[in-house]
Amino acid sequence: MYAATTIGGGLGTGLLSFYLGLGVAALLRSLFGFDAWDRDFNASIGYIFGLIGWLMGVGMWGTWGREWFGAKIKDPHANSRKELGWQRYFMFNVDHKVIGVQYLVTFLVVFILAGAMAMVIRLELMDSGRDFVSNKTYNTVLGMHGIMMVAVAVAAVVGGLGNYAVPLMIGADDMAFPRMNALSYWLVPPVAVTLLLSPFLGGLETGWTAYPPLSVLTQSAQTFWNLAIITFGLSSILGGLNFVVTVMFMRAPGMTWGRLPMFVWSMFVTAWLALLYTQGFAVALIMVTLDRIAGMGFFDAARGGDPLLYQHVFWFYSHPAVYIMILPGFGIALEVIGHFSRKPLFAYRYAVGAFLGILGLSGVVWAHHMFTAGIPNYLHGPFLVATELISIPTGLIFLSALGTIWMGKLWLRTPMLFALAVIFNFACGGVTGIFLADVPTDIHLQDTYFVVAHFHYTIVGGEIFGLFAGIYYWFPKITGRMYNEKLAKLHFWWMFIGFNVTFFIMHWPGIEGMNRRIADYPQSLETANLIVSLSAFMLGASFLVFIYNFVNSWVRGPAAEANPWGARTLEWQTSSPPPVENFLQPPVIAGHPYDYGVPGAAPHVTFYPPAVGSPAGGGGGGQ
Amino acid sequence: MPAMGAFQKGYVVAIVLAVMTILEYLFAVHVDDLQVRFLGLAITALAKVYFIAYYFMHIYRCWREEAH
Amino acid sequence: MAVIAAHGAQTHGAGHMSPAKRLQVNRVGLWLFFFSESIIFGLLFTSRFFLLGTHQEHVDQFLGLVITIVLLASSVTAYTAETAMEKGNRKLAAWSLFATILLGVVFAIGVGFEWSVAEFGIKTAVEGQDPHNVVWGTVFFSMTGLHAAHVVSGVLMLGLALMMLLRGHFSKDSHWGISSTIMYWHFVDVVWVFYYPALYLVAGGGTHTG
Repeated sequence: MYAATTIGGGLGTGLLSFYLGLGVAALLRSLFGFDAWDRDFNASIGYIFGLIGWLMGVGMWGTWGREWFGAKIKDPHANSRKELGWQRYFMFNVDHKVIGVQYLVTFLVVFILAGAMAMVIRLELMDSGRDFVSNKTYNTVLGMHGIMMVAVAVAAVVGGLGNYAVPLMIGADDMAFPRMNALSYWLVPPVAVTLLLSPFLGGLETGWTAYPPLSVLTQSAQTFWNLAIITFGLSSILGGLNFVVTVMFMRAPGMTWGRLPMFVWSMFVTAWLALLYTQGFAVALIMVTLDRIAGMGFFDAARGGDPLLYQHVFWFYSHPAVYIMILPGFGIALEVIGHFSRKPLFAYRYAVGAFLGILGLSGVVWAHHMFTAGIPNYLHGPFLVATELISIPTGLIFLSALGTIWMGKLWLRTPMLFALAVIFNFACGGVTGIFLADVPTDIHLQDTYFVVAHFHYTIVGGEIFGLFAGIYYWFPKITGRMYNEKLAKLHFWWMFIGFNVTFFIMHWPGIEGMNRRIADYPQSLETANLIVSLSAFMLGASFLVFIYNFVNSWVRGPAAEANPWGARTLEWQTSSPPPVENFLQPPVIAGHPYDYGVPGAAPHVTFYPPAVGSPAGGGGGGQ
Repeated sequence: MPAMGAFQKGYVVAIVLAVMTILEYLFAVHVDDLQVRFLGLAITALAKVYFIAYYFMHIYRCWREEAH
Repeated sequence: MAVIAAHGAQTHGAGHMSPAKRLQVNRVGLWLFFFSESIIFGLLFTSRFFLLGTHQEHVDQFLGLVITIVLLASSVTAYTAETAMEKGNRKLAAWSLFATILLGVVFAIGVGFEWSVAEFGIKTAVEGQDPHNVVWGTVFFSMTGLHAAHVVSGVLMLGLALMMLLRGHFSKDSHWGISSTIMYWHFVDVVWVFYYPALYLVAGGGTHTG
């Protein structure tokens, strides 16, 4: 049992190192004349030790760590062997396709768990008054739902689909740093475990934003939560770095920047955002942790600290983070719309420019989250304008999508339905965003359910719909099997209607002033909340269809062909699922990926030397 | 500094950096105007970073591989 | 088909990258890592000015200048080590690495000494101090602490590199392990180039300015 030895070894060394860290911390504390035991301090040191122990135990030592001491390492590719079957997914595996599946399945599980927590929240909010859970439990559930969904939004598409598809789409045989890629993934399980343990370590009180002074003063699992999120940030930064270098250096011959598929462009920009901004969250939480365990005073006004500093540093990451979430969604939407409209992607260059424009603007808009927090008035204008400027590149992406659909021969399979839903939903999310960017309306709407409805429209409606578009689109490639189209369409319509009813109605109590994060609300808003709750349950139930279809099709779906969509891009020109080395012959790129039906267009890809009996070439001029 | 050997080049840069550090210190201690001091320190820091990044860290090798 | 002719022989992918390309990929990756780390340092640096403007409490100027020069000197020995490695002089490389480690340890001890003689704490105001400036202790200890943590990790990595060098690893043409560690060490120096004036000099070497 390879899988059992890997996971067991990781858990064993991880736990041992954790206890070792506890001991070392106690020793150090008594040496410097403090009490030997302080839960948060000792556990922090133990966590760091345990994290390193876990990583080494799951296989990093054998395939990487020994190298630092000049010893021979085990072949990192050994764990990719086909005959290991499903156990490959439970090992320290450097194959980007395996890591992509690891990410995807892990975060789908997290998504389902966090979704279940949303059901608890909606159950409590079905009518006013306190019914099902205590306030403390409600806070914990709310915080867990928030942070876990943020994690899903940040990592499911980037880590899962990005890892799987990007090297394939640029004609590489792996990421630039395969072992670091595996490291990025294996940092995730300790994060998930620590987050899921937090209800038993004192719960969460601060929601996902962890604002001080509460996050410094609270006697909850805050420190553990901080450490988990810092770890997750590290994973995200390393992943982003890997994508940037991969796209810069690993492209196949002929794959110029102007021929990159839209999804690769979106991932490239997303990776830059993760690389440049994730530190903000980490630094903010390091400051909170230092305030908590070392008695420092960053956020203590009595000592000259300033709680607003936290919000600046935190939103310096967390606003760009929403683009980390949404840009891959846009990328998938444009990719799928391009292939399923059977005509060249409209305004390719403008769409690329839009991605780069969002990259450039994302760093100068963060304070629009702080209009009511007490920032100086002279900051309101610049941040209002900068925020609204973002709608220009976003508009270009819409231009590209709508121009591609216009007069196209739309092929309405499930991925296309989801991609069209991204465009529809994000339009609604974008329009409500304008009210939140404008200072006068924002002062009224800040911290109400209007905000909740707005960001669910953008993130769920934009990215999560994009995630499902991507899952259905690449499902045949990843699993080698075809999903059930009828169930998939059922899932789509069920989810689409459930989602839109839930969050469209949610604007209404928001405008009436219903506070977010609070377990109770005035009785007059009961009708709206009842409708929202009932349709939220409907939305939640739609994922049962998805799970059934996903698992059932993966296990016994009909075998998929190499290129079921007749798409021109590289990942469809190899077998489903692709071999470990991705392409048996080195691919050479000559044409644009979206030139459907263009007379005389060069095929996007040819193989050199031409493969005998390879899957149909990339000419696919129409279906 | 094209004609110089690699070692010598490093020492010249190091001496420049050391002189800049000491001048920076003397400048900061003796200049009273906050704006001037801040600007001077910022410019010195950026110049030092340029020297370190170019001569010590060989940043140019990212886009221009050295000939052996 | 000219493209194919031009690129046909070219290898692709991580598994079969040429050593020169692998080196370039590693180098750019390392620079991006520095870039990303400098944002951590930069955010703390900005926080210092956000919280305190250019105010600073009394620090030992002489000690500050000495450790700064020590760190600069360690960068020179590190440069010598890398240049020696490029010229195939293993002995000089080993001694220079050793000197770098030594100077790094001296720097770390200097910071530790600075901490022990600091006239400010993180908890309460000392006699005659404006309680609103107590956050100086927080800022000073966290900035120097984060930097010192990088110094210590750099020393450990230099130690590993030296150990491998002495065991016969690395050669004139293949010494990325040493180069990358030394680049990391220079990066730690770059951080100090900004942190030193921000913590010691910006208030004119005195106290209570700004």
